[in-house]
Amino acid sequence: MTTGSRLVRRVAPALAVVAVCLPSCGPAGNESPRTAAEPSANQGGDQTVAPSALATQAAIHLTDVTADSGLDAVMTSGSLPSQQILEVKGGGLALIDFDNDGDFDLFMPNGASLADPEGGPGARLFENLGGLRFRDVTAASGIAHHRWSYGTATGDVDGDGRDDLFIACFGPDVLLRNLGDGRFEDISERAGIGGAGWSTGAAFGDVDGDGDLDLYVARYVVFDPAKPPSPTIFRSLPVMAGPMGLEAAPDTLWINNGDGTFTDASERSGVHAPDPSYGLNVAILDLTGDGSADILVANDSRANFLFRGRGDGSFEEVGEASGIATNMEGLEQATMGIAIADVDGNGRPDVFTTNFSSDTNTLHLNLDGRFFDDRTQQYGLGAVSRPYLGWACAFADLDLDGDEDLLVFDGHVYPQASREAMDSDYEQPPLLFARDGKRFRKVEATEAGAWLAERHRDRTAVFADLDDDGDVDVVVGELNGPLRILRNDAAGASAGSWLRVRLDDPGTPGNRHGIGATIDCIAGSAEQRRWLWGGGPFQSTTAPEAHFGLPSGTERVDVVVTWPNGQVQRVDGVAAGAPLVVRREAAASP
Amino acid sequence: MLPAPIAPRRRNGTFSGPILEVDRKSTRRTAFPSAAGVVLALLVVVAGCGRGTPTDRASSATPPQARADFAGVSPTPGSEPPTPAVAPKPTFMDFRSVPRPNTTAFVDDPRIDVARRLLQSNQFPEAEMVLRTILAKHPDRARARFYLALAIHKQKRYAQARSGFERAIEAGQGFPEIDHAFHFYGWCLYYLGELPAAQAAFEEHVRRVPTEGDSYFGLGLIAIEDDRVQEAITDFKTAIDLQKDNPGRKADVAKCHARLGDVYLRLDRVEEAGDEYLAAVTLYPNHYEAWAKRARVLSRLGREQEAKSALREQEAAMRRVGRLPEGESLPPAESSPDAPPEPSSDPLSDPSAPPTEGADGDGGGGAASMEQP
Repeated sequence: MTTGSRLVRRVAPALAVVAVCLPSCGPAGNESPRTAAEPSANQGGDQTVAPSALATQAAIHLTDVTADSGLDAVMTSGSLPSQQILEVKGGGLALIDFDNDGDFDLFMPNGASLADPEGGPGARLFENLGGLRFRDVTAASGIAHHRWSYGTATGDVDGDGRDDLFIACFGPDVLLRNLGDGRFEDISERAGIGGAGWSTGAAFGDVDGDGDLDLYVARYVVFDPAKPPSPTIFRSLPVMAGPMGLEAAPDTLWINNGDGTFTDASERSGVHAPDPSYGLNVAILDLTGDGSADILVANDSRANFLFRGRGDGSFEEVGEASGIATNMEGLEQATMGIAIADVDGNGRPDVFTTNFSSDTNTLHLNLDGRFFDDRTQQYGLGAVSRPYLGWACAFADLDLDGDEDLLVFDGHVYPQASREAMDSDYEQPPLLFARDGKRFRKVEATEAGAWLAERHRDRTAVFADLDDDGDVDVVVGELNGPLRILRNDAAGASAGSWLRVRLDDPGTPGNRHGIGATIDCIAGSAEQRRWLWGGGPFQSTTAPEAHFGLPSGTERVDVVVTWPNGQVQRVDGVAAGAPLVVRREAAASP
Repeated sequence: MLPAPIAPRRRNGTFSGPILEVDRKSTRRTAFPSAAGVVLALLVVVAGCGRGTPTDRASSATPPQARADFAGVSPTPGSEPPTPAVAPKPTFMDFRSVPRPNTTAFVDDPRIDVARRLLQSNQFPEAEMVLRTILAKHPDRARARFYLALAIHKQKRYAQARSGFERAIEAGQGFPEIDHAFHFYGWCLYYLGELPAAQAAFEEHVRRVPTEGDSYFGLGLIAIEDDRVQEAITDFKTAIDLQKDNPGRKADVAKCHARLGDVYLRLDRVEEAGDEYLAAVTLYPNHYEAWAKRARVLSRLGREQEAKSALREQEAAMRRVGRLPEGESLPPAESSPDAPPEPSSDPLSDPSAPPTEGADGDGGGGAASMEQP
C-alpha cells in the first residue's frame, strides 16, 4: 500500500481535521461557547454518561505478537551478565512518524560494548506497515549510527514539518535531521549539539516560549571504560560500582535558535545552579500550572530536580521546596521511569516514578502546582512494588473504561540479584495496575495474558496505538534482549470506546504537534485530561498524541485543547471511536 | 544436666526476649565479618563439631511435616546451605496451632548464646555463621532457626529470613521467642510486599502479646497501604499508648507520631499533621524524615522561615546519625551502587527492647533515622 493511500485510510474515517478557534480564551473547560463541531456531529444526542458507568468493568488483555511483527532487533548493551554500570541502563526507543503517513514508526538507537563503545551493531529504524507489522528501513534511511546510545527524543527541530531524531550517547550526542524522503542526515555538528560524556534521557519542549523545540539532555556519571571503578558491596555481595561514589555529569539545556541550531543555555538558564546529579530521565511540561514549561529531571539516588520555568528560558530549582525531589520520608530515590497523569482528578499533572528494589515506586500528587505529596500508598502502589526494580512506566487506559491504568516494566541491574540474596530477582515480570475506583489494583497474568508473567530485564518502552485499532499497544526494550511488541486486545476498541487526538499548529512550525498542550475530553459529566509532554517513560518518547478510553456507550465527546501559548480551543460533538486532529488557526491569539 | 533456658526479661508485664542492639548505620558497615567476630565464630564452629546437646533428643519430636521440609536440605560439613526463599504460600499457616513458649522445659544449645551476643553487637554475618553451624548438625532446632532468620533479617535479606521464620514457627517447638517470631515474620512479609500475610502475622503477634506496640505500628502501616485511614489512626495511637511511658521507646513512639502525621496529611488535616511531626522530632530529634515532613507542612502553611529551620534540623539530624545530606557522596566502598542508600528500615531501634520491638521498620522508609540517640 502506498503512503498516500494509507494516509487516506487512516485519517479519512474521522473527517477529523477540525479547525476551530474561539474568540474568547480562558482556562480549559470554562464557559466557552460551542461555536462549531464536526460536520457529522449529532447535535441533539444526549451523550451524558452517568458516573456509575465509569466503574471498571473491562479487562486488560495484551498479547505478545513479536514473532509476526517483523521486529527482529536486539537491544545491545554491553555484555551479559553486565559488569559495569555503563552496561545496565539499556537503550531507548522512539516513536516517530518519519514518513508522515499518520502512524508511528519505531527507532531504536542501540548500544555497544565496553571493548568498542563506538562500534555497536547500530541503530535500527522500523517502518510501521500497519497491523503491528514493521519493516527494517535502516539501510534506506541512511542511519549508520553505531555509537553506544541510551535515550532518544523526537521533535521537529527546524520547523520543516518533519520530525527529527536526537540520540543521547556515551560520547558525543547525535542529531539526525529528517530529510523527508525516508533518509536522515547527521547534523550534530552543524546544529551545535555535541559534547562528550554519558547522556541518558532527553526531552524536547518549548522552554522559552518562542515556538520552537528546545532540548534538555540528562547526563549521568563521568565514566571511563578503561578505568572502571572497583566493585562495591550491596547486600553483602560484590557488585558493580556506581553511581554513588562516582562523579556526577552535568546536564545540558540546549535552546533552539529557531533554525535547528542550538545554543548551550545551561548556565544562564539556571539549570546548572544546583550541583550536578545523576540524571536519568526528563519530562518537560507545565507542572506548576503557571503557563510556562517546567523541567523535571529524574536523578538516580539523589534528589530530583524540578526546574520551574519563568517562561523566558530561565529556571528556578524548586524540587525540594515542592516535595517532588524525594519521597514522603525526604529520602532520595533511584527514579528511573516517569509517567504523567491526573490521578486524583484535580486537573493537574501528577507524577509517578519508578525506583530501586526494596524501595517503592512513588506517586507524587500535584496538589496545587506548588506542592507535591507522595501519596503512593493511598493509591495502592507502594508495598507491592518493593520486590521490583522499575524502569519504563506509563499511564494509559488499557481497558478503555474511562480511566488510566498503569504499566511498569522491571528488571534488576545486578546479575547477582535473586530473591534470596537481594529480595529481588534479576529478571522480573512487569507490574500492571488497573485503575479501580479511587485506587489501583494489581492485575495478574491470569487476567491480562501470559506476557505479564514472563520475566525479563526490561528497561525501556513506548506506548501508542500502533495498529490503529483504538487501543494503546506497547513496544518493550529488554537489556540485551529482543524487542517485544504487545498488542492490546481491549474489548472496547471495536465498540469505539476511545478517542485519539493529535494537534496541528501550522502557525507554529517549530512545535507543530503542540508539545506542551493540554487536551481535555469531556463525556457528559466525566472529564479526562492528558498532557502532550516532552520526554518519555525511560530513555524513550511519549507519542505526540492523546489517547482516551471512553465509558461504554459513549458516542460523542467534547474536546478542549489548551495550546502551549495558552490559547483554548473547544471542539464539541466529536465522534468517539475515531482519530481526531485539531488544527489551531494561525490567526488565533493567546 | 540440661543447660538452663535463657531467662526471659519482663517489662510491662510481658515476656521479653534477648536484647539486640542494632542500628542502621552499623548494618551498612558490617557487610563483612569483623576479625574478632570471625575468630569468635570460628571458635564456636570448631567447638561445636561433633558435639551434641540435649536438644538432639527433641528432634524425634519434630512433626512429620517439618521433617519433610528438612529432607530437601543437604548441609555440607560445617555450614548449612542458604535457606531457600520460598514462593508465597497460597494460604496462611494455622497460627493458632503453634505452641506458646515453654520456657521451663525448653532445652537449648549453648552456642545460641554466642550467636545472641554477636547479634547484640551487630555482628550479623558472624551470628549467621554460628547459627548455620548449629543447624548443619541439628536442622530441627527451631530456636536456632529463629535466630538464624533474625540474623538474616538484620542483613535485610527478607525473602530468606521469611523462609527461616516460617520453618521456625512451623516446627511446633515452644522455644522462648516463638511469640515474637510472628513479629519479625510480619516485617519480612511487609518488606516483600505481601501485606495480607504480614497483617496476619502482626495480628497473631498482638494476640499473643497484646501489650506489644510495634506490631500495632506494623498494622498501622499496612492500613495506610490499604488506605484504611481510620484503622491506621487507631493502630498508631494504640502503639503510642502502649509505649509512651517507656523511656526506652521514645524513638518508637516518635515514628508512630510521624506516621500518624502522614495519615492526617492524607486526610488533608495539615495542621494536625504538623503537630504530629513536631511531636515526633520532640521525642526523637534524630528523626530526620520527620523533620523533612514537618518542613514540607510548614511550607504548605506558609511558614517559610520555620520550614527552612526544620530543613536545617533535618540536615543536622542526618549528620548526627551518620547519613550524609544530599550532595555529599558516600565513599564507593560503603555505597549502595545504583540504588538508594538502603531500603528504609530500622532494625531494632531500641537497645532495651526485646527482639520483637522497635523493629525494623516502617516500610516507607520512615524509621531510617532511628539509630540510637
